[in-house]
Amino acid sequence: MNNIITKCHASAWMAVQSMFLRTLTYLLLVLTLVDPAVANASSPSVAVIYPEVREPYRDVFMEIIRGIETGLGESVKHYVLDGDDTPAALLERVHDDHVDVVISLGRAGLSATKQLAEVFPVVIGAVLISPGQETKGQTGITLTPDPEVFFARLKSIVPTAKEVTVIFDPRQKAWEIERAGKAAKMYGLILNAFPTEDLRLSAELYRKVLAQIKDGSIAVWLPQDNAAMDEQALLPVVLQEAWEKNFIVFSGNLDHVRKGALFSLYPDNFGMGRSLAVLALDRLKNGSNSTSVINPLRDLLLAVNLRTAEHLGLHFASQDRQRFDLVFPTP
Amino acid sequence: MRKLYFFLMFYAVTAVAQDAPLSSDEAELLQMYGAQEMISVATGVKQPVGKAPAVTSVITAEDIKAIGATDIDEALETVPGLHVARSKDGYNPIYSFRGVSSEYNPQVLMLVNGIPITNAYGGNRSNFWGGMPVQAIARIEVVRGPGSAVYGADAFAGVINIITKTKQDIKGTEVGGRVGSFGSYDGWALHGDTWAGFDVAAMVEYHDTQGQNSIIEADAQSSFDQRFGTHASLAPGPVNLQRRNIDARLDLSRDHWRFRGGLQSRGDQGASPTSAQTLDPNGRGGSERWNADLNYDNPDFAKDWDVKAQISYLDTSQVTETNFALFPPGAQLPIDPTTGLIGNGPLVTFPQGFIAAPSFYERHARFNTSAFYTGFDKHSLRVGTGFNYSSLYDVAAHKNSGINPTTGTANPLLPNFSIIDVTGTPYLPIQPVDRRNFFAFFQDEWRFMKDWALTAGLRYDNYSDFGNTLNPRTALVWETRYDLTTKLMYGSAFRAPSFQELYSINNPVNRGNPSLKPETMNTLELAFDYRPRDKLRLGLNLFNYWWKDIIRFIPDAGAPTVTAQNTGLQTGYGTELEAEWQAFDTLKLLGNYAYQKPRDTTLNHDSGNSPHHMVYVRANWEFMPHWQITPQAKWIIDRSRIAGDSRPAVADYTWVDLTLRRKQLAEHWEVAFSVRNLFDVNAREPSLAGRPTAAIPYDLPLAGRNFYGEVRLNF
Repeated sequence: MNNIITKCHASAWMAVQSMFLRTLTYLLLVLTLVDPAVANASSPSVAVIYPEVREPYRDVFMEIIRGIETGLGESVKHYVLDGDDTPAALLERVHDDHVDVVISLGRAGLSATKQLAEVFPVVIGAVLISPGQETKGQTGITLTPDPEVFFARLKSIVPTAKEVTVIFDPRQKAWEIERAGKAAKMYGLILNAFPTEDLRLSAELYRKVLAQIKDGSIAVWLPQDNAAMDEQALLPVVLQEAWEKNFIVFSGNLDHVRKGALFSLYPDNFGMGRSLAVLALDRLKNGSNSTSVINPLRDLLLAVNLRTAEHLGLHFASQDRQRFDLVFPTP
Repeated sequence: MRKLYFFLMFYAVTAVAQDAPLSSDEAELLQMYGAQEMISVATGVKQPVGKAPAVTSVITAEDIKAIGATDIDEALETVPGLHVARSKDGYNPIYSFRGVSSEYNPQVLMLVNGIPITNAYGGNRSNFWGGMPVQAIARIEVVRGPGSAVYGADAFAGVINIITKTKQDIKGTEVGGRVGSFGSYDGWALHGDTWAGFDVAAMVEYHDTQGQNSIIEADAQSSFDQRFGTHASLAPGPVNLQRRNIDARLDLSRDHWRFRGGLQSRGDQGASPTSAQTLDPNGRGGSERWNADLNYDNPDFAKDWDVKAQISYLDTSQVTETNFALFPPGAQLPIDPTTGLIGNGPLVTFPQGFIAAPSFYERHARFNTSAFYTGFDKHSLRVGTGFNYSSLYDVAAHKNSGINPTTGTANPLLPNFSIIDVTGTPYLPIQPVDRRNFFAFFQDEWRFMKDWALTAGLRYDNYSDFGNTLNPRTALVWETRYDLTTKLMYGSAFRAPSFQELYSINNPVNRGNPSLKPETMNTLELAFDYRPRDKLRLGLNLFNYWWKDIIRFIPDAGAPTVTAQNTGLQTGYGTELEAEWQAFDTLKLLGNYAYQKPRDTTLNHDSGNSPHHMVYVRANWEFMPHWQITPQAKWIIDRSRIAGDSRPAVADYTWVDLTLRRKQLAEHWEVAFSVRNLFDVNAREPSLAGRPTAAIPYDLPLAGRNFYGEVRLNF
């Protein structure tokens, strides 16, 4: 009897094993069919140059590359920078690999392709850079979010907002504030922009600004600008005042939302990758006739602090909530 | 203890001195996201919004990897107030929340993607649960305290909801393998991609182990040997916890629809000690869980309406593969001539051992739908309804005790008695049976004042076997200050009596009782969430519960049997304190302390077995680029015995693990090495009490120091 039971279950076990093998075979088949790296390994025409960084930073570049591949409809060559790549070696490599256009990611990617860009089509991305002398003649997308997207979001979340106050470092943010001025007009907002060059002055300006704010019609904008914001001493004061006086704080720094700012926009890395692919295809199609411009980042996701929103009396329908890509505090 | 303190201090101090510098690219990305942790959050998948205020812990795939957990139990052990003890029944896990502990542990609801994985026969995860590997887990949401108003039956002491990975979690392909102590081999392959317009995630995991081999010094047969002058016991001898697991999952989604299908297969599983608390190196069991669910989720169903619906199916078995000898060959046992079971009667020698080989087969079909309405000012409403069908559709059993169906007399008293098949006869341990459950619920979150919200919910359940139950839940949430949130919560929960408790027959001792009512629990909680500094989060909660109508097996008058009865009351109170501090971008320290005082009010005695104090500390430290080390320690302190168990209190222990991980090796590779029970402590979990002494008197020893090495390839 014992043997009968054992045999019966042995055959069941064999069935499970055979199912396991079938599943593995299926998985390998799926990999072969759907993975572009496997399917089109022989003919990539785009190379992506990016620095070797640690996790989770690496995930950002990987997500951008996935977006590039989706935008191109094919896989790309990965060139990981290890610090020994000379411009000549890089040029030789792109020629050897029959690369048609290079997309450089990150600051190290930008530096490595600076000379290459003079003789070869290069699109730059995932780097904090202002359009100006440094990027003359180059095409790409900076990590700096477009203020227009910020203001569009502000008006959709808080339609009653009338003024936006920003304290900024003109050495880094002049072009962004200029762009913000135009965007504010588009959305019927008054932009109060106060330049500062050091933290002491910045603190003084915040003190004055916060003292003047009486209600929620004025929103404070914290751009990514470490010269005008002290994360340790100043930020908690701003956020606490905002809580007590019920005014809006929105930020270009995602972590500020976790700390209590109402909302932030952060990079949609996959979308940024697709936009870079569009620019790369444009370079391929039009060659040196294509437009050379550094665009602000418009592929942005929205993070909202629901606790702060509730405190401000903002009520979101389930449809609105679904459009939030991240919410804090996490349950 | 001193050694560990200096060990942790060394790491903390060295970390301060050597916080790894960031490259310019890392620094720029950090400026966007604000903190390294935020990059992981932002590049991960969307977090769900909680269904109702509760004391909740979330364990992410990243946490699981950092601590080097290879089974879900190791991850759960990090939750404040939750201790994973071991059952005498093949070391099955006992998830003891806040001192609510029982041998079969049906007081905890385990869900996979919101669908119960528990069975109806025992109300738990079955005798051949066989653990759960972690590679396919995206996160584990653990609710401490009652959840019946949201989840229904058995969301009693706690709810463990396992969320499996989707395409977004996997991001490409991962293949990995692991080799470790006790002849353990693991292999897995995960793939996430888009295929024909569908988001696809496919996951396969394989696990084969000989299991840990700690020694049980004496077992139930040892005392029979002493009594009857035999030498049958295999104790002292090693436990046998070998098993072979296959887990396969498929996740397909498109627009508002998601389909999931999966298999959890456990085979060649040893379960020694057996349910009779004896050693049996030869018995093998297994289980299979086939599941499929189809989900519809439309947040734009209509203006202000978010509508969800789910239909699911689970087929689950608990099968004896090789007969278990509940008492080993050569055992002499007194057999009751009227039942053929152990009782008052002549001594019978069992040359093959006292054999039991039951198998149980269940299917569960479930449907539920819910809607979330946000159209009223200051109110958010949630309503829902559903139907569950659970069927124990087949039972098979072979045994050499009890009544022989052919002769109608006690089998062990027949000359040259052998193993008999009682399948399809009235002599099965339980006859096939089913249960239907209809439910409806309503919940309103009312923001009645600035910074104040009152959530009130009620769930009605109707069961075909024991009738109706109503479970309310209320929570008052006060956003006290910019950095402080206060919650006061009350909830009631119920546990449906298991089929075993209701309908068990022909069991050597335990008899079911069809007139049982559900167990109930009322809990009051006060919780604070305080963020005094930028990167420091503190959580504190105080709780008090009243566990009533506890189902216990009570001795029958004038008979050696015990019958399930609603009797007994346990009250408990305690506190849980949690801290999480991102000291540097590369160093995170976290820990928790739990104090719990459960008391059996009926017997006026400590409820026993659960630790009164638990302390957990962990450091996640990236000490060099791509190198991560994670030491963790848990102290299990002060475990009393239950009333009537005269053994000294269970010894405290300190359990330390250390995991070292190297990421991005040659771009796509990752390797890890982990030591579990670093200091090789003799840690034990309490064995079942017995009269006059416990059958396994020296408790259940846990694994000694053990190791594993792991390799992953991502592409």
